[in-house]
Amino acid sequence: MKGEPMHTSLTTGAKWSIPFALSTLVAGMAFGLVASRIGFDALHATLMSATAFSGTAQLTAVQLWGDPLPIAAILLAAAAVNGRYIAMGAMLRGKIERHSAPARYTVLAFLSDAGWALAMRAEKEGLEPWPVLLACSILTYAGWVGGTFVGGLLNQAPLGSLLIAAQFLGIAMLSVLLPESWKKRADLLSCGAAVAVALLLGLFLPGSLNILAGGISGALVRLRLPQ
Amino acid sequence: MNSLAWILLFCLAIVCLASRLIGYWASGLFPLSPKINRFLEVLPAPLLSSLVAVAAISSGGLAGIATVGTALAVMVATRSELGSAAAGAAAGWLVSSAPAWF
Repeated sequence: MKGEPMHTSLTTGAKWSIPFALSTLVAGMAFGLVASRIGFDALHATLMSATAFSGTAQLTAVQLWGDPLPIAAILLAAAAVNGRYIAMGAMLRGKIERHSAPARYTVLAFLSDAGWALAMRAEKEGLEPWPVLLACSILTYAGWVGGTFVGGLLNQAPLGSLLIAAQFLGIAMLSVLLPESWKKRADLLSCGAAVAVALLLGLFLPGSLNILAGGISGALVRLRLPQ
Repeated sequence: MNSLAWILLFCLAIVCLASRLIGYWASGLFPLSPKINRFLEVLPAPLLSSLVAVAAISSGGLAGIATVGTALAVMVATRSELGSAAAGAAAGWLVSSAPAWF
């Protein structure tokens, strides 16, 4: 509960984050492998993961990588696929304010989908969102960067059954957070609208702008429905 | 890597960092009206829903859908998070591996 020692939120956040970290580790290995196949050595791919820490932006970047380097196209694509973080950051205001500016901006600098979802959950359950974000950031960052390095050293994907299953663990963990927010029929309707808009716009919009558009549409639907 | 590639890596890091900070920073510049506050209150569930749906489709189509569907069904039935996530991941693995069995 709020007011409980910080370490309660930190340990709970760490526990919640473990499946995400495992999934990120595997995704990082896949990225390292893809990057090595287009000519990045393990060190440079790891450097990119350590500084950008964004799977979608990095995969977009390496897919567009060429000679001459399309710098503007890569940066625009990276901004587009990360567009959802703008809304996520705005939602975190008011939830992490009791911490110092360096502490707040540190966790924001490592914000991920999983971290945001877990911070929202922490607030619902009366825990401090900041330590949960911190725990998730540390674990997923270590998984992503470490995974990239290992993937960069491999010549071929060691995709055993366990690793394939681990790839799906991140989505599965995000999915299980959904039913908590489905308290009323209006919640289900708004989420359905969000999914429909996101999937439909996915056919036309680049990056993850369709995710953002879906979320905004769903929220607007929710506001029109009874409380 | 040539110097242009290093510049690109640096700029990519800045773009990724800015996208994470800008929403939080901008929302603190102006006092938010009650309408905007209410909007931000109801935004998480639809945003998470669209994130999951898009991730499910892009992570392997049927396998992704099986992952999400199974995880949701088991979660609603059992309220066990880790069990539901494990069941979802197992369903994703089963569907993605199925073609190799035939």
